[in-house]
This record gives sequence, structure tokens and C-alpha cells, in this order.
Amino acid sequence: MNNKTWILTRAMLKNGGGLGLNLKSKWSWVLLLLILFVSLPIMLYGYVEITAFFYNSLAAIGQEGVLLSWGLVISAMMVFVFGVFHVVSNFYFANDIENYLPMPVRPRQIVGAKFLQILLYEYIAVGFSFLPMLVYFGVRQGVSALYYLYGLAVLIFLPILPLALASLLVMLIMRMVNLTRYRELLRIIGGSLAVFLALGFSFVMQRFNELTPEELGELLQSGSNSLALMETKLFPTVRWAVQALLRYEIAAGLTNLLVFIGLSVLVFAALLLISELVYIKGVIGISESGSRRHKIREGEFGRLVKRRTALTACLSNEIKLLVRTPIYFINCVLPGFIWPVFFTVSFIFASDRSSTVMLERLSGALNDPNTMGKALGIILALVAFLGGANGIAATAISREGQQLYIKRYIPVSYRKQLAAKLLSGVVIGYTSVILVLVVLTAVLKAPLYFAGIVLILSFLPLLLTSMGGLLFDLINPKLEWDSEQKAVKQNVNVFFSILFSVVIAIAVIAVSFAFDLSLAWALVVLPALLLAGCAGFYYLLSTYGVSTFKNLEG
Amino acid sequence: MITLENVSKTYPGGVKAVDNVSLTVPSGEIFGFLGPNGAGKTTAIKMITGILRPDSGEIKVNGIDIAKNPLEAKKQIGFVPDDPNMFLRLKGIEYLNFMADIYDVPLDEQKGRISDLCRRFEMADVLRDPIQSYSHGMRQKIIIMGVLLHNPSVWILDEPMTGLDPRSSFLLKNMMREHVESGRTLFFSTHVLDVAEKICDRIAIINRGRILFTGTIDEMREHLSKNASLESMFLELTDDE
Ligand SMILES: Nc1ncnc2c1ncn2[C@@H]1O[C@H](COP(=O)(O)OP(=O)(O)O)[C@@H](O)[C@H]1O
Ligand SMILES: [Mg+2]
Repeated sequence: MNNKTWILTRAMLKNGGGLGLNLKSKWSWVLLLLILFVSLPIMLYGYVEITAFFYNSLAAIGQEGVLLSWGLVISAMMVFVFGVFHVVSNFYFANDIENYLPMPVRPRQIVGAKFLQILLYEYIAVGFSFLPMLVYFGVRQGVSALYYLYGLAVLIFLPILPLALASLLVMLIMRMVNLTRYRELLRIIGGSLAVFLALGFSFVMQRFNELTPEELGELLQSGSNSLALMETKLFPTVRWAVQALLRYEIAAGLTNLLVFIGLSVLVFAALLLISELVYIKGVIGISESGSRRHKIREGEFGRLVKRRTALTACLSNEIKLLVRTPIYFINCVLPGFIWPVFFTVSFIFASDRSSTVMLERLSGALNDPNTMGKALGIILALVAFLGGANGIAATAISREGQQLYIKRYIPVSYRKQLAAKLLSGVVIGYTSVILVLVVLTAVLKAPLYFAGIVLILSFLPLLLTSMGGLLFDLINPKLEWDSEQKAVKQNVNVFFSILFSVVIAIAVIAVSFAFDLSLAWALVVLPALLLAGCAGFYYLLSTYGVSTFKNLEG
Repeated sequence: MITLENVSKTYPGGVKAVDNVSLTVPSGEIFGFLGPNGAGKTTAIKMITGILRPDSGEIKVNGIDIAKNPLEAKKQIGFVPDDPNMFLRLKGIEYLNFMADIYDVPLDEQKGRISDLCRRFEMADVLRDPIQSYSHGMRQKIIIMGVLLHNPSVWILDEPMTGLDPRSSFLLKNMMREHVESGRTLFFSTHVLDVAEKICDRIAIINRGRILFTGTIDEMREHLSKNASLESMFLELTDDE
């Protein structure tokens, strides 16, 4: 760590950094604050309820310390998995890298600065995932101020190890990928591979972590909080953090804390050292793109020239951009594939009895007329979530960045251009739906007509969440950026879009369960509900949305 | 034909980039828009093409008001922006198809025009490569090709000669001449006096948002010789290209 690393970090943060909250109109503020004040308390309430439930159950067997281990391990896990996405985007595909390469800075300084930049965002995530739990535990235990001080230190150093692991994994893969002739293609695949490996790794570790009933019994016998350390195999340094927090009153707590901090710093230093060896060779030539120079013969023009409507042309343009821009592909398209595949695979390969039973139950529910209506509700809710979480519509305007002006001089109505953006979200969303359908029919043995229903009705939740996302992005677009990842990763609209889709998902599930919908009723009520939502947002988009888009002078 | 009547634009920061400009660009002549950097050329062009809205004043393209009937007005125009770094993720041919689609080029014409433009700009070899892999000049060429594809009746170019090699800029000059000879309108901006003198039939000089002069090339020479300060402003600029 030295001066140049700081200078780089500051430069990176300044260049279109921030989360993109640059609200100009008063109404945008009102709307955004409303969303925050309605959905955040609900989420926090749910969070505290769940934490309380686990705390009470664990405290009953004298193991409430496990709660802290879980919180820490889950947070570390999250930092690791999301860190892989972040690192691929920031270290390799960020456009600003090419500005730093010719500067007299060392690889470790670039990597260090990029690392710190990601770290800042990880703190927000960890703040959400661990802070409430830390405080809840403290309040219930009636701890002293020292606990909170230690807690703060743990919070600060917690993301370093998992993020460093993620960085190492990605750097090694990218180094290897860049060796080959088919770099351009492989780089995207390499990025995807890193994500898959990270998920696979966490999955394996999770299995590895499972205890036999005998082991569990023994541990339980051995008294207070003995289980807490069992949960930390995955990220060994978490063990010291847990010890520090549980034994903060005695000297051992401090020793553990210092070991934890020391190890995190050491891992970070190791990362910097290794980056000197592998980073530059992995990143060099990252923006080169293949050029084949095939002469087109006269006769070939006929085949290459096509004709589409303006809407189709704009839509196909949007989709090409999403699929071909590595950052967009990794952050907006890939997750929609990965999560369904990942959950299915872990289900299928989990050989223990409980998951087999679970599978049979799910399959039963999908074939039982009494539960099919509710199952449909859950699936549509899932689709709504997948649609909102990809952030495609929620960054559709932001992604234009400084090129927004093109949209203003081409002779295509703003309404059509917005429609193309909406549909791009729906189309990519359908790739997840297809995967969900495969799981439904092949793994869960749902009847084909049910799959057909899901296929058709999925259009509605996808459209609704896209409409919501697009509206957020119109209200508050992030147009000032110098590298694509700032448009899609560090964009608060994605967060709003996720909140919005969670609300839709909860509403759909709540209605299906509250009225105990049969399949026939579900086919009436759920589409009606979603259509009503779409109609409302259609009205908002075609009035407020179109006029906002018209007035955006990028 | 393009007409601007008392058009003004002030940027949010307070810069009055275009100040009460009135201008008529007739068809059939190459019309140059000359001014030093920061004079307000790009701002004026952005208002004509519908990218920016004027604070006041009226702009008509072939008699169509861009504020009242934007789509029709935009269809009249072929616009080449000053920054050719656009559509980089598309292949050359995909960009051309896209332009043909949104400007409603009839399919039977599209094929012939693409192959004709490719031949003239010598771009047939790279049409199936991503625009990202093109050099600056090649990017400019493909953008110009996309714009000419729909045979616009009004062709607007913002600093088109910057970055073109002599051969390509010669080609472009010829195409500009061809365009006006068929009775259509051409409006382009430049900060280089030399370029303006060599290509234009008629010229408007702008500085700090105000039009200082409008007239033919000969009238301009006369005007400049009388205004030593104005001439020196441009003489400094002739070398930097
Ligand atoms: N987006 C903008 N925001 C604020 N000021 C701008 C913007 N674009 C241009 N300007 C200012 O407006 C003036 C005219 O700029 P421009 O039209 O780009 O000039 P030209 O194209 O003749 O070089 C300059 O002073 C410039 O600084
Ligand atoms: Mg300019």
C-alpha cells in the first residue's frame, strides 16, 4: 500500500463512481424515499424476526454463538460469490484499465486500488447481511461497548479474505485464458467459468461441512457455543472473528481479534504479490477484438442484407449489446442462467435423504390439483424475481451513457425505443424461464400443460418487473460513467428493481395462499392481478416515462 | 433546406453556447459552418438534429419544424456526429442493416447501395468485423456509409474531415459535391479555414455563439481581409490538422 494506490483509488471512485443517486426533480426524491421507507422496514422486520427465531432456538441448547458464525460465514460467502462478479468486471473488463496500463504504476497498485474500490461496495453488502445480526446478538446478550468495538473491527476486516480469494481465482483463470488463441471468446467464458467455479466451490464446501448425527450429538454435549466454531470451516479466518466476539471480555478475545486482522492483512499482501506475476499478462489486450477480414463477394450481399421493423431492429440491437459486452453479459445475462442451473444441480446431486424427500414433495405438489394453483403462484413469483434481479430494464437508460444522444436523432419514436428496451428485459428473462421449465418438467415431473401455462404467463411478471425497473432508470439514470460496469454494477436502480420485484413476488404468493387458489382460479386471478399492474405501469411509462425520456439531454 | 430563426441555447452551467442565431442553408450548395473550438457549432447542429432543444427560436428542416414534428424532420436528415465511436459492438454490416431498418430503406435498394458504398469506401473486407476493430478513420467511414444509405435529403456532418486520410477526405469531398448537385442540402462544420475555402460554396462564421458573417467564399475572403482580427483567429487554426 502506498501513495499511488490511493491516488488510483481516488481517481477510480471519482470517475463516475458513487451509486448513481443524482436526483434532480423533487418527485423522483419522493418516489425513491417512499420505496425505501416502505420496503426497507419490511425487510428489516423480517430479518429481525428470523434472527430472533434462530437465536431463541439456539439459545435453548446453549448454542446461540452459532448465530454469529452463521452470520459471518454467510456474509463471507456472499462477498466471495459477488466478489467474483465484481472482480471480473472491475479488474478485467472495466474500460478505465487501458488508461492505467501506460502509466508508471505497478500492477499491484492497480489491483490494490481496484480491490479497495470493490471493498467499499462489499461493506454495503456486509452492512446489510451482518450488522443487524451483530447488533441483535449484542442487545440480547447485554454486552459492553467493547463488543461493538470488536464487532466494528471484524466488520471492517471480514470482506478482505473472501474478496482476496475471489480475486486470486479470477486472476489465475484470466491469466490462463489469455494464453490461448481464442482469447476474445474465452475471456467471456473465462469470466463465466470463474463464477461457476466459485459457486461449485461453495457448494462442495457446504456439503463437506455437514455433520453426521453422532458428531452433532457429541458437539452438543460439550457445552456452551461449542458448535459455533464448527460452522467456520469454509472461511477459516472467521473462526478467530467468532472467538473474538464471543470472548471479548477476556484477553483471549483480543488475541483472536489480532490474529484475525493480521491474517486478513497477510492475505491481502499475498494477493498484491501474486498480482505482480499474473495480472498484467491476463489483462493485456483485453479490448482487442477479432478481425477476420473476409472479403464479401458481390453475390453475398443479398444474404447479408435483411429487413426488419424499427422496433425489431432496436430490440435486436439492445440484445446484441447485452450479449456481446462482457460486463453486461456477466452481470445481466449470466446470473439468470446460473441461479436456476445451480439450484437444480445442487438438488439433483445432493444424495442425502432429506433432499430426495423434498424433491418428491415438490413433484407431488406440482401434480396435485389442490396445490397446483399455489405452485403456479410461487413459480410466477420466482420468475418476477429473476426478471427484476437481472437489472436489464433497470439499467436500460443508464447503459446508454454518453451515447444517449444517438437515441435522440434517429427517427424512431421514444415510445418505440422504450418498448424495445422493455422487451429486451423480457426476452433475456425468458432464458431463465426456459431453464425453470426444464427443471419443472424434467426434474420435478410437472405435467406438460402446466409447463405450457408457466411459459405463457411468465410474460406478465417479466413485463411488469421490467416496466418497474425501466421507470426507476428513467427517473434516475446514471449516464456519467467511463466504464460499463459502473452503469450496471454500481447503479442503485438495480437495487430498487430487486426490491420492486420482491414486492411483486410477495404479492403474488400472498394472494395465491390467502385465497387458497385452485389452478383454475389462479389462472384467472394471477394474470388479472399482474395485468392490472402492467396496465398501471403502461400508463406511467407512456405518459411520464416518454416525456422524461424526451427531456433527457445526455 | 434548413432554417434557424432566432435560436438560442444556454447550457445548465450558464454558458450561452448559441446566441440568437438565424441562418438559412439553401439546397444545392455546400454550406460550411466555420468557427474556432467552443464557438457553438456542435451545439447548433445538435439542435438542428433534435438532440438538444433550443431555449427559444424555431428550426425547420425542409419546412418541417423539428419541435412540432420530430420524426418526420429526423427522417429528412442524415447526421454524422463528430465522435465516430458508436455502435462499436455491432459488425459493420449489422450497423448498416440497422440504419436501413430505422430509416425505412426499401430492401431492393438497400442491397445495391450497400455494395456500392462498400466499393467506393473500400470497406467490403471488414464489413463482417465488429466496428470495435476498426481504426478511427474506418469508423468514420462506416458511420458515413450508414448515413448515406437512406439517401437523406439533408446531410449534416460535424467536423467530418478530422481524422480522415487524404484519400478518404478527397472521396468525401466528391460525395458531398455529388449530394448537392442532385439538388439536396449539405451542412457541415469545421474549425479549419483552409477546409472551408476549398470545399464550400457558402459559409457562415460563428464565434461565441453568434453568427459573424454569412455569404459566398469570395465574399468571405473580402470580409476577412477587412477584419484582420477575424482572419488571424482562423490563420492560427489552419495548421493544426
Ligand atoms: N454539455 C455541455 N454542457 C455545458 N456546456 C457545454 C456543453 N457542451 C458544450 N458546452 C459549451 O458550449 C460552448 C460551445 O460548445 P460546442 O458547441 O461544442 O462548440 P464547437 O462545436 O464549436 O467547438 C463551449 O463553450 C462549451 O464549453
Ligand atoms: Mg464541435
